[in-house]
Amino acid sequence: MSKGGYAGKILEVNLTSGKISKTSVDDETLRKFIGGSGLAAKLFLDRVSPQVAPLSPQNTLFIMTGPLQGTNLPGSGRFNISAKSPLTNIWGEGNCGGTFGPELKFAGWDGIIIEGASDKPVYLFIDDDKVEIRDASDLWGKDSYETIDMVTDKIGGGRKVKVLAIGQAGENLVKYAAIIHDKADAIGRCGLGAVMGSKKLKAIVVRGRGKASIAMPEDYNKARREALDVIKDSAVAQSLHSMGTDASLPLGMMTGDVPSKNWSLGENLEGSEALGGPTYSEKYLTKTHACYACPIACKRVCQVKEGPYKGEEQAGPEYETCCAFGTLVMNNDLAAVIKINEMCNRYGLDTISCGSTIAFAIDCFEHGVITEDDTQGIKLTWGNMESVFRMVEKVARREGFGDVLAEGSRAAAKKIGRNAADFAVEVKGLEAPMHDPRGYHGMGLAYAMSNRGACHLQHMDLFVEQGQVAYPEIVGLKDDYEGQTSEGKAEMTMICENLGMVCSSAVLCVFAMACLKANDLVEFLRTTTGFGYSLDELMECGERVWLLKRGLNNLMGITAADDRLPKKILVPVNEGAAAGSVPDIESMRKEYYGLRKLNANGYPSREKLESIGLADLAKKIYTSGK
Amino acid sequence: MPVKYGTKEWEEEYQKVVKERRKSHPKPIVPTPEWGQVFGEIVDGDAEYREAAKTWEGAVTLVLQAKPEVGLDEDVSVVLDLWHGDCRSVKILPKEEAAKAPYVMTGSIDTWKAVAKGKTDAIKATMLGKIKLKGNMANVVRHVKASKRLADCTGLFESVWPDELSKDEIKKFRADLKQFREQFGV
Repeated sequence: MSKGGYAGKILEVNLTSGKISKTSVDDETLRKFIGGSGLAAKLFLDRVSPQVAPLSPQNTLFIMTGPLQGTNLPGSGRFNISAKSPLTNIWGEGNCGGTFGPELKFAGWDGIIIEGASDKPVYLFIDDDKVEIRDASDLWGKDSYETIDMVTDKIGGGRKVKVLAIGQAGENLVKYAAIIHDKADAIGRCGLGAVMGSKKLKAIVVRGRGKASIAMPEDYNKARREALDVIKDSAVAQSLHSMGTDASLPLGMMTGDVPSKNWSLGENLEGSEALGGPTYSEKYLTKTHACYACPIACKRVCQVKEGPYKGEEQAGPEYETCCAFGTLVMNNDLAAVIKINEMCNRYGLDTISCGSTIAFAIDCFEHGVITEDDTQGIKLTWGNMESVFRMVEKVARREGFGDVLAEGSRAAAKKIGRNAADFAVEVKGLEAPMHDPRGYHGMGLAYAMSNRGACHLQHMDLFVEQGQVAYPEIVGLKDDYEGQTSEGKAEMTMICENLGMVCSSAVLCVFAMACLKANDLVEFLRTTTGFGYSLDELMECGERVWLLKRGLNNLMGITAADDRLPKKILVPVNEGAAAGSVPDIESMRKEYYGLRKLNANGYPSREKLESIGLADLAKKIYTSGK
Repeated sequence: MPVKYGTKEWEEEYQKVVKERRKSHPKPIVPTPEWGQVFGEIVDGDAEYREAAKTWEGAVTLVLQAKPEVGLDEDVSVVLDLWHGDCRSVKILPKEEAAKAPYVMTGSIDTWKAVAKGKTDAIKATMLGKIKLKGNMANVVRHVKASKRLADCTGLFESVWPDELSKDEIKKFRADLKQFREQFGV
């Protein structure tokens, strides 16, 4: 039985009826699914029809912590939100840092399940065990920063509240609307901000005065001290601390990892110098910022003090944004990226999907697939940031061509027709993040197989394949992988996914995981929960969670045909370290299917599901005629 | 009697000894002073390195950790005097002096060999903890192209790694290095 890590209750809110209740999860389920996205997937399976329309009241938001939230373990400052995604129409989830997750645990809740939809704008206020659905009519129409400020002032007094808010993009049901946390962090991917918007749920506010429970305090303290020592000496941590995630830009440019010009250009050294971590640190960084209890402090706070993008000190862009609105659209002005990052945060837009969709539109425009007639006179050309700014605004407000792009690049390509689909770089509808599988073939397989669509963080592939970390204690993982080969990447990807699923269920930051050993994660979970986890058992939990999400996706319509890479990534670039290289997705996928026990249609075998404790999922899949 | 580091005599004697050793060791062994001098000349003359490192400022010490079984009884500190694309010298210096360099990178001789042979790169090895870096990481990351080229330069001339030596050669290498270290206080 768990003696720690969990509050023991999950808040249930029905926005249609206004009913507020609570539920709990038995220890056996907790031990098998841990928490975070794993538990969210299990609860989704039990409670929600996979055929649910993502923007209907029946879609359910699962805001989940794991057993590590509320502790002071490094990397424990995160939490997970899951639902069916309006962008992809399959399993959607996002992971967010900051302070909301720990605060929810301090308030005495392991998570929040939000069903139904209000007929007028509301916000949810959780003040320890006091929960209210409050009127948000004065907040509706405000951007996320204004909302966060207003609701914080409104509530006032005592311990500062932690806020999640949507901006106008979520209200307007932009398919990649994000949820913004306290003006610094985001649940970016999969359009979960639109799910909130469809429920007329403008914000979620929490204040908690309790503390998390630890099952084995002495062992926990030892595990924590050892982890802090390791992180202190870690070059990965030092790099993240000094330059943030944007350290990856100059490094990645040398290895073919960074996409430029909507994935057409293999090397962009000028861009890498202008937009990379060292320049960012020298010109715009004012201070670093950390999630709760994290010693790495990879977050950036920055300010543009002069020029056309002059602004206030604020949360700065990550690597993904520096590429999506930098190298991908051929913009070398980092100050412009900082400004557009603020814009996307305020409107509540996923910078990866937004930047990628605009890059797609530019590529279409430059190739004559769309013209100024389509874009209301906006010239979508490479490096033309004025048009990018205008288009971001139009997307958030769903105006003109922005209304087309607000659907995401896959849907936009379908609407535009002709050969527009050739320029969309997405998998299962989710725009690819800024890591090029032509430089690292395993990442291509991870994109193809990731359960929320193309994703670089649902697994530890990025860190393992690029040689930033090794886990010699995990059987099957090598110390050192060669990026531009597809051989051996199936097993690597599967293991990295399983480990990634443990992280997103625990919930542990992957950057912390990249500094630590797998046995550190075992100790974190064992000493916090009191469950006698071993590494083998946890890796099996990870495998279970992956298969669960896969099975949910199968029920939502995903088949083998969807496990593919976009055309752009299968055409080699002519320059840079990855020139001429293309991942052999077919052979990797074939091998991967064998390892995962997926049949030719892309479904996990019944035997596999039953053997790993997913008999209920197996029944749903195999009695639905699949 | 060792020559005192920091004096004109030390410098003159060092250059004289290296000149002699280069004649007697046409295929220098890593990490000997003659190997360092040849490496330095190659780097200084390499157009690609000079371009990539044109904004680099600051000496870099490479510490090759001891591995007695291949004749390396103590750590060796190889200091690259690098400035705006120039490689002004590569010398073996006393440990305390070498530690003062703005960038100190410490790794096993096996790791350094892997970097030199292109099997890994210095940044990757640093991330994995196989090389410990003391110095401004942001600047190192900014000059990642230069660091890669430095590693490439080690392959542009013939040299031998200690693990490639025969037992007798290791014995001689150990004795030579010991004599050099005693003479120059390194």
